[in-house]
Amino acid sequence: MSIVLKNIRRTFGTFQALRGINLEIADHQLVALLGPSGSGKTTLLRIIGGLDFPDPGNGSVSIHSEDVTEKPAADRKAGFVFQHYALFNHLSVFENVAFGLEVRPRPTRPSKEAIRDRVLELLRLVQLDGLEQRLPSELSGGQRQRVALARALAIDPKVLLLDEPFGALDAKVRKDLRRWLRSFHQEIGVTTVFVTHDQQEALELADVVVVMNQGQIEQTGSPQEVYDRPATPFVYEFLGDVNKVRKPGRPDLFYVRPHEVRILFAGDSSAEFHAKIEHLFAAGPSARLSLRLTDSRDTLDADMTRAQLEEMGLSEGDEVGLQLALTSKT
Amino acid sequence: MSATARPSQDPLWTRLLLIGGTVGFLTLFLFVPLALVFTEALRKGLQVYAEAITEENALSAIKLTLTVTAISVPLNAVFGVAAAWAIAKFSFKGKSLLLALIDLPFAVSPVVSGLVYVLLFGARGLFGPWLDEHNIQIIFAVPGMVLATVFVTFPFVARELIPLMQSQGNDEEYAALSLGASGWQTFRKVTLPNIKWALFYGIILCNARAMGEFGAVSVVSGHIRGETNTLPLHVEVLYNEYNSAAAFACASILSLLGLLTLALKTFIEWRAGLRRRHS
Repeated sequence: MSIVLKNIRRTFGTFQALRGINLEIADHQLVALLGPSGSGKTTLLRIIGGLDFPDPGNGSVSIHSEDVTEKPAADRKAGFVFQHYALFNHLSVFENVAFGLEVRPRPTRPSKEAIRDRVLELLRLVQLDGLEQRLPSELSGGQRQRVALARALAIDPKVLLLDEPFGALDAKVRKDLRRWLRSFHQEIGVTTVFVTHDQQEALELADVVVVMNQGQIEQTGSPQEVYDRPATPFVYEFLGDVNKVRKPGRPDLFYVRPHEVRILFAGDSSAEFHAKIEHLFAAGPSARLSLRLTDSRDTLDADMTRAQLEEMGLSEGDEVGLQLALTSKT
Repeated sequence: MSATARPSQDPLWTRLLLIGGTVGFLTLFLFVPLALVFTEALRKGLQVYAEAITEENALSAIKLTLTVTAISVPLNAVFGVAAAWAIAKFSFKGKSLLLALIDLPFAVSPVVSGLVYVLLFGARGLFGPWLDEHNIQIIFAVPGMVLATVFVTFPFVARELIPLMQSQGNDEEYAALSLGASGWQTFRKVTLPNIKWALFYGIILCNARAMGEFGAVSVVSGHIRGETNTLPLHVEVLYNEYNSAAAFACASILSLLGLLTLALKTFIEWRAGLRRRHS
């Protein structure tokens, strides 16, 4: 195991940021801590990196089987990349990346040439060769992010910790960098934990998604697992669109994702529910239908392919029959 | 964004009146007095001027002023950085009280701060008997004057640094720590370069005030000629003796130091401005 967290609690004043977190992260994995703001994901990341600490006596952190609960950040060899990069603005790109090597005590500090070779190699790795003399202020957001990554990698970290790595970038760069990070992680193989509030990002990028809410872990699993078999109503709602449906005469709520709704002709005998199409939105690869159930007056979203929509010849105001794969979550 | 300012829409006479008023006011209340200091100082000729500032008591006053400044400014630079660091980078109970305390010297009259030290360390003060027993003199001696100056000039460095350090946050320091830097390395290689210009600016303001301080120092000095008179106190003594040529000669030295401070301050603002535009 690369990282093992046991029963971690963290309180700020009266606010319980983390309420007993247990988590094991295997070697070489790319793990997403996913949750809304205030769920404690960043606090947890900082505790792994030694930039924050659990309440005294409440929890332990070990990295590569070594208990580091009491160790300061400087002794953990955890590469940390900050949301706003936190580059040293008065130092060049080269000096930024070299920082972690330059501050080593003399006996373990590499020679000037060794540092130079290592820095240039890292800059090649993050595709920033040739920019080593620039100042951070002369770089774009995506480039700064990669400098921060190279700087964190320079210390040969045991784990790599990224706080909202794409949070401050625009949509296009975000997407490119996401894809790049995925292949980059495969190349370097360092166990990596990143924090995000974007479910799409977590599902696309991570091997393991840890869904957090209100200081607790709701579910841990592969992207497919957490999406297809959500363990709690929170996970169901947080990961992708979801409809809440009541069956006539029953008080409990059922959850169904829009793509799990099967649309049938109104007269089809296998229809479990009947509904009216209130709105039809067909700009995109698939069509989205806003439905209102005839019995309960609940509203419901459904997805279907454009081809299917044309084949059935549906339009707004039409009556349809529905088949729902309902799972009870209450 | 374009760098050209929007041409003023106000009528010409308004602009002339405002500019003229400002220039007139500055001339009357700032420039003329300053010029007068130098003309008065030189009225009886260069020789009298030179004599006045090389006279034994004047030299001793200059030396004392420099000594007091040389001790109190570095002390306040260190205290100021420490206080700003504590306030900007940590959260703790009583933080706003500490902030208010830092401003205290700005709020109370310097005479009061001087008197407080007399009450504490004077012959009949709180620690007076103990100090007397151990033969330590603070009031009416250099230590008292240093204490008074430190007190009065304490806020300058801290006040410059606090807003800057608060706006910079802790991330760069955390980044340095996670890269394996020690606390001292983090301060020297990350924090200090980031606050360099503000610190320098604060030190210069602190220095100007330390050299010019009159009230607090006057109370604890005892006015012993050639021993406990700083330059501002020496000017007053000379003036009260109707020796205005010598008084103005010494005053001109203080004014020169002031002008030098102003030049340095402008230079630093210009450099800091360049840097901001650069980043």
